[in-house]
Amino acid sequence: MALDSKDGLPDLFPSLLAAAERYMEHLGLAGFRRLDAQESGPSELELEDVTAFIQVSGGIQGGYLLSVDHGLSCQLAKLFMVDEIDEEEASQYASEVVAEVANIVTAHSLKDHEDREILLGNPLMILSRDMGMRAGFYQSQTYAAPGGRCRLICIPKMDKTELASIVTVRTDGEER
Amino acid sequence: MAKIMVVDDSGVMRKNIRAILERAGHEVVGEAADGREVLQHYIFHTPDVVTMDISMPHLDGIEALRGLLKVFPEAKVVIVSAMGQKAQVLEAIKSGAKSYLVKPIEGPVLLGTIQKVLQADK
Repeated sequence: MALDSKDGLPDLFPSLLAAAERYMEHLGLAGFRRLDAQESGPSELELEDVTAFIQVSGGIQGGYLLSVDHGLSCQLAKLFMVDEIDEEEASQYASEVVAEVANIVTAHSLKDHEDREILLGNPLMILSRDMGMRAGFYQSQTYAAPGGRCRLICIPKMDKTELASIVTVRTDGEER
Repeated sequence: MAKIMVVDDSGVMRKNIRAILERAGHEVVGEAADGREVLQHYIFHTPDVVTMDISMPHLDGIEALRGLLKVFPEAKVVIVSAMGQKAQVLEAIKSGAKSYLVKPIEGPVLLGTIQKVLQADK
């Protein structure tokens, strides 16, 4: 899906996807393929089991999310760790690995913007399927791999008031 | 082989760097997860080299580097960061880092860099 730049700001989503795909290939994640792409807002997007949220500020403002289901997060942990790990260890390390993967992918997606001073926040981790994300506008790409699936989400422009309301808690399918 | 201190707020990154270094025969004498811990850990462990991330809570790696070099100007620090923008790399080198590696780091690259940094003063 070709996305035009908005308000004169660069469209960062294609470079985010490219960075993610390159990195997953580097990790050795076979069969990582695109499924649904979505551009929407204002509305709510469900999150997977493990989500890393990184706020970008400075010359480029916005939020990046990598949301991964349990199966794929454990697979990523096994690929990421230098030492061989078992299933229990993979489950223990999964959230930290997703955080670091999100950090690397986000940083790499911004490397072409040398002329802008960019600050990356530390990843904020959301560890529940009972959470949703709401934003005025977002771009989302779902991926599948043999071990599970994930979503990459970009919120191109985001102020602090929007950040405060971005995450909602679901109770029995209703927003709390 | 060398005594190395690993500084990164990510526990899995510290584990990975430790694994790479120990497999090559280096001794990881200490770890820190926060820039504020760097100086006290350096005093306690007296490493030959420090690997340091930049994005850390409370005190980032560049500020921690500057603080460390004020007290120990001979300290050898290799920055290991996901951000690879030229301005950031230059700032780290100007602040006194001996080298700068962009994540994801490959074992041979890390080990080669450590070796070069160790040999630089010989």
